[in-house]
Amino acid sequence: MPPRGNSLGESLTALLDDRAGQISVIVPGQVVGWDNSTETATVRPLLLDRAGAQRPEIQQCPVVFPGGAYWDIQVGETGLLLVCDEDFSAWWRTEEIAAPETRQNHAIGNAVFIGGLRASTDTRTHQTDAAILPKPDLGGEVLLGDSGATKAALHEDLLTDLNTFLGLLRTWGGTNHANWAVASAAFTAAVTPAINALTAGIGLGNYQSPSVKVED
Amino acid sequence: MNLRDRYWEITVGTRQIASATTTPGKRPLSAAFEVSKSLGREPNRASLKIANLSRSTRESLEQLEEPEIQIRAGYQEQGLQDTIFVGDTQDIYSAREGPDIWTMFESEDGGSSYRSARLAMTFEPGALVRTVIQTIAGAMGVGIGNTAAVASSATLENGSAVFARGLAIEGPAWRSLDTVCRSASLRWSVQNGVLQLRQQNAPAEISATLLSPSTGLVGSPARGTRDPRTGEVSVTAQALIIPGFFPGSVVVLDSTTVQGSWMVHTVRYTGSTTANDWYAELTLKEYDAA
Repeated sequence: MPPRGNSLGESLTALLDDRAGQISVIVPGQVVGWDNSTETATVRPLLLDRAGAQRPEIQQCPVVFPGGAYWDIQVGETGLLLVCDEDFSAWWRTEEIAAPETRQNHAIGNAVFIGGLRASTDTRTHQTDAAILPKPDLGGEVLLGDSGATKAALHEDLLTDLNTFLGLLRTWGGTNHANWAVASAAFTAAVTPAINALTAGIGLGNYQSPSVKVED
Repeated sequence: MNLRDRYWEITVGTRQIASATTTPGKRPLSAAFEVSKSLGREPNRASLKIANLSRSTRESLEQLEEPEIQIRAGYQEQGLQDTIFVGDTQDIYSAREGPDIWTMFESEDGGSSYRSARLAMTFEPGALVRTVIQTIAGAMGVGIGNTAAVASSATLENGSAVFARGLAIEGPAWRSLDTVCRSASLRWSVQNGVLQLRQQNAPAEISATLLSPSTGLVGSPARGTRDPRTGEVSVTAQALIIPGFFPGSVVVLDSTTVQGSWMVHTVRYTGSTTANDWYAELTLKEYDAA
């Protein structure tokens, strides 16, 4: 419907402004629901429309994961709704090149969600040299990486048990053993529990991180 | 068919301003109107003016807040009158032209209603196309017309009767209706205050109006060249104001230059009680037969 204006210039300006207002491109959004069977979220846009009204929630909104990784999205997570030019439903359902199912162009319903955009008031601890994966289901966060790290970190329990083992070796090696048979028996008695502890720890999975798991 | 004695009747709000039935001893009021109607998304428009209303009538009319206006016109013979326009009046003002004071009315068909109607809704995955259309139509602020009947068999262009991923709509209701209708190969317009839905390139009604020199055809219809963009051929014709002309209706032309069934795309009525104007200028196009 052409807007009313007092002059051609005003009319054109109003028309262009009206059209621009109908084009959604990128909008902040918040996850209000997650369906891991379809790997889609229900996302609420976090900006009102030009008329001051709440914008509609987007259901079955595909989620973009960095590098193709996958994890459960947390309700409350914020990010960006990236609005596609056209309705991608047919491709999304079939993985085949397809015509848009609807005539919606740059409509909020044609959005995908990219997590990670946070408000300035978000109080999560800032890390200068590590990536943070929020895992509220585990009671916190998983920090990945360190700018100075070159090797994989050891689990704290494994480090403790290895240090215990190492201490025994040092103690035994630093002793002047007059009787080899006695020394050998003492060594066996002292070290065997430590070896058993390490073996058991590995067998029970005690040295695996509760936050990082490798699946076959 | 008596096509000599003109009939006209105008109602603003609940007030009948003028009628063909004149009060004995009083000079009949003069009126002139121009009504433009089309199948497009823009609202149909009417400009109407009435001469020499009393001061009190003028003042009371000018204070009305977007009143509905209805124009009926045709001929005195029964069955030859039709409501040619129903709409909301945006402007009412009076101005002197020579010795007369004319009261002007500028109106749009459903204009104030669907211009202001906005929506922000989410439809669940699997929502029926017909449900979505009916919901939006219900929010337009105009009568739903034939929406239920036409939408009942609505499918997307891929044949699906549902929006598999659901649908989020926002903004002006008319824009959402337009998008969804186009997605379902439907077209919409507002005619006389109610929604009219139809299949793309098909008329809204099966019944047709015969237009020949004896039923009101004026002059010879002219066939235009084929539109290079749409491939459509259009015909322009002029007729007296008789019932049955509205965008989406079918006219059967019986003339020496053009014959056959055509769909009305636009109609422009011009009428004047003080001049010869009492015409409907039609733009007709081919359509897909059911």
